[in-house]
Amino acid sequence: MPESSDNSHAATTKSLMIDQSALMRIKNLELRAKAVMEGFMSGLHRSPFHGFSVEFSEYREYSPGDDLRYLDWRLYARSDRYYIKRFEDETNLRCHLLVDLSRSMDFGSGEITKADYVRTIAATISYFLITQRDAVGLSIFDEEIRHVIPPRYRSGQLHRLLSALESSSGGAHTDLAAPLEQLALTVSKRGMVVLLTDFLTPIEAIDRPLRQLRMHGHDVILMRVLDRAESTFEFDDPTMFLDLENNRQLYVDPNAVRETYLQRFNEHSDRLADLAGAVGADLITLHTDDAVDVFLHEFLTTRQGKGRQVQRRGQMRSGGVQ
Amino acid sequence: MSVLFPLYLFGLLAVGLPLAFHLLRKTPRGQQLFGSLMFLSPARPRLTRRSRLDHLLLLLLRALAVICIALAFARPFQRIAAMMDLSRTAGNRVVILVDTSASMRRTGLWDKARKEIDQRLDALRPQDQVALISFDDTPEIISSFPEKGASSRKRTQSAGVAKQAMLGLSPSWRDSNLGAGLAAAADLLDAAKDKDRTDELLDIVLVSDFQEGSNLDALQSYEWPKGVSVTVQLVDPEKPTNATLRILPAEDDADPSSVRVRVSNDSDSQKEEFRLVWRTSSDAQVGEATSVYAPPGQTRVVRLERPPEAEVNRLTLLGDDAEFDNQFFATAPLQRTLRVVYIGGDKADDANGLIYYLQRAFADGPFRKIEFDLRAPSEPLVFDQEDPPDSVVIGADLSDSQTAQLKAYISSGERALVVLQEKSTAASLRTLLEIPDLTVENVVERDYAMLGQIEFRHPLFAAFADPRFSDFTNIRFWKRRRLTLGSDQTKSLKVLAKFDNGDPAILEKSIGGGQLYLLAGGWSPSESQLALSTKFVPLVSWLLDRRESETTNPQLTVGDAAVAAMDNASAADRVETPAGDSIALGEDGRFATTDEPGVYRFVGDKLTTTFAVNLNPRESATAALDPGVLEPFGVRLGRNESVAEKLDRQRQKQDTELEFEQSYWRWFLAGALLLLAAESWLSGWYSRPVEQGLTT
Repeated sequence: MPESSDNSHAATTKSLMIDQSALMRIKNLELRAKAVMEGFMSGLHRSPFHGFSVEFSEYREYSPGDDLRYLDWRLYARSDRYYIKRFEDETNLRCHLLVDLSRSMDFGSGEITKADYVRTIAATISYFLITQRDAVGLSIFDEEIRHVIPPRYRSGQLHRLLSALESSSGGAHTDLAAPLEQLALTVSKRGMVVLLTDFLTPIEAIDRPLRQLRMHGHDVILMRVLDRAESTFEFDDPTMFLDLENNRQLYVDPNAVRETYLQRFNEHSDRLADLAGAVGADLITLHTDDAVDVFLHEFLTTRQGKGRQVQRRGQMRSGGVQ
Repeated sequence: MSVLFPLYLFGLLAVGLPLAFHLLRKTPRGQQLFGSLMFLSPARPRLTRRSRLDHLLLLLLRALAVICIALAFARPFQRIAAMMDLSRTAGNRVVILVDTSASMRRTGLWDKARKEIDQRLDALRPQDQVALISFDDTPEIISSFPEKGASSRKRTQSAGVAKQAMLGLSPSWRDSNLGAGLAAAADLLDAAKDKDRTDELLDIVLVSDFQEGSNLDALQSYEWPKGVSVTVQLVDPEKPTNATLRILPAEDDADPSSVRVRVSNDSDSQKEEFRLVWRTSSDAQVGEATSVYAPPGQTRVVRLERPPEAEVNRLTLLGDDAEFDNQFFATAPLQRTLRVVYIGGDKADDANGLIYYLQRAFADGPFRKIEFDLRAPSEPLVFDQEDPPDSVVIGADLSDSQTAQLKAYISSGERALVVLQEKSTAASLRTLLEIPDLTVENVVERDYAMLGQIEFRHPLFAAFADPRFSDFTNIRFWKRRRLTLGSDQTKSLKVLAKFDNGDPAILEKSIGGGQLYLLAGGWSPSESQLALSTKFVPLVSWLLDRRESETTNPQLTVGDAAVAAMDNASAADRVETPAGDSIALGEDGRFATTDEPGVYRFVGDKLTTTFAVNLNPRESATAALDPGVLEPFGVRLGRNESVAEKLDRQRQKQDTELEFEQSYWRWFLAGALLLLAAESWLSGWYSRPVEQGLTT
């Protein structure tokens, strides 16, 4: 942890947000990108660029001007044709953490709010990726992007990320579509996009920007953070409910509306899951009372498996050509 | 135990409120923050019922507090038996003021008024004292309050006395002087009131049609006594249409055979079309009826031909509901014949003579016809003793016998004018003026003479006293007579005007009861400009002035005094009223008891003259006034309430006093405060363990 020695403030901030127990559990794991990444450093992740590595990718017919060093002489000997050997490059990951800190995230029926939980996850993932030598960027948004730190791998990046997470407070409304579209337009290189929000917004609005992101080749992970009360609606007394985002007041008798609420909530969740499946994004639903370490361990474990699977599949495909 | 404001007892129903609040609990409390309300739909607040009473003592305290507050507001008090019986308390004083003016003659009005008064009198208690005053143009006390020292039996009978007196009353033909009636009633009450009592009710019950034409002037300067109230009991006719008529005074140049009639319709009326009919004294219609259209509240003037029949004495209006003012009496216009005797040598058509101008100055008018008796200078001045001429003008020198005859004529109270002629000698004048050394001489002015030093205070010149008319310088005399008066023994000669050189021009001499006027110059154009000046007609009219005023027909209204207008007041000795009564006249010839409209007759030995008396036109304004018009005069209007209601009001007043003395409400309020304090403490005590239970 080079950043922890920078100054004491950063250390304090970090200790507040980074879940140490989670880190201990996942320190031997890697976050592998499912999709192909475009990085500037060699790393864990598959790259669309062909370079000099041990991982063979494919053969291509020689055309004048190709580097003769990659000519497969042995194949030429067998088939009397010139083929150039191409190798798969491995690169580092550019991860964009897209964190929703709108006012609705301030809700928390237990001890911590959704915003706190999201900060912890974002900080933990950042720290984890930076230790993995990947570039991590952060965008904090509510109805628009409030704070942007571009993905970098350099000293002090973690400190900046943690400071940004700490200092940002909730804005007003949530508008997922606009920040996603903005991100899709500004980030040209493929990377991993982790969207941390509660998704309490119309699903239709995020359909298009998600598809755009995927079209640009980004690996999209939707992390939905909810309070337990939001998914179970365990209120008893009729109360005036105050919407945190628009201050709208509504008199609600929970016993009377619980059924309808849960029905609508589940419908909404289903539609979100359908959308995630349709666009090929991972959807992970978290509750604020879930332990961060357990979640991250499981997430990285499954992710790693997936990454390898893909890698293997690629190897098999290239083997097939071979 | 009674309460002053029983309505507040409805507040006792509020006892149910603590119970209701106790059972009903409105549950929404506080606020729940929530991430998003997108999955929520609004629900109506529901009240949940609690069927179990939790804190009975608390509930009881609250209910008792509410009861105490309600009772405090209702102001309870304890009636004391001694103060209860108001019917045995001292009585009140009531003046019944009844309108007997002519407008009360309308159909059914008087019966209504009587019934109303009877009811009022019946409702009085024996100890109440009542007086009855009637009023038309003057108030009259019909029955007064019993004397202060009167026996108790007499005191309790005042209502009966008034009731009896009421039987003898009926409406008169006079107009309504309501102001004087009210003032008289208030004076009577103020004088009779018991000064030791403060609770005595002094009330005037005004029973009247309260017509628009009522005269309220008497209240202008009247200070309304304190404590006296007026209750207006309006009696209104079933049919309100009333119109009236009036024959307007004739204009000077009007044709005497026609009259102008003003028809006024009352603002309350419901009809608009009326008819006018001439009638004789025997009520027979003469001629055709004339239609008149007068909308309500408006007046129309029409010109009607007066039938020549002598018996026609009134014009009648047909078509309205109120008969009392539908007749206007009018005697035939009296055109008197005035005789002027002129003695002179000139002829009637001689433009240089005197009579030529005199005849034109004394023209005939609607009420007079002038007859001239022209006599030659030599003719004797012998007059009919029964019917002497109204004036004599001398334009010639008189003989001694003529002078004596003229003097006798003047002495009987007549006026004569002597115009000195060129040939006049002083002889007859000396006798007439009783100045032995009087001389007359002719003066022919080289230039001209004017009138100066005019005695404008004398009635002859009084009409010219105004500076606008006092310029006599246009009247120039070329020829005149100079009178040298010498010594006047009798001092009865007055110089009314002098020429500018100081010679007397116009003189007056009183002889017996009459006057002799002397003019020291003629008015013919050869001698002066007098006949051609505008001053001539007014000056010579003076000779007949007394007669003129006697011949006009004054319009009299009921109650006006009529003066016997005959040649000599003493000649009429009695008056015959329209009802046929004969009333002897006093020495002054005045007749003041014109009590009804109609044609009256002054009857003398020699002559009978008639005069018409009509209703006061104000009396025909019968639309009802608002009683509020009395308030600007300081009159306190009472509520139109029965005796029972008055007693009720008195009892209420007594109750208020009792309640004020007892002030039980303070105790109830203190009790309520104590109960509320106890309730607060108790509820605090109850809620404490509940909180502990929640936190553990």
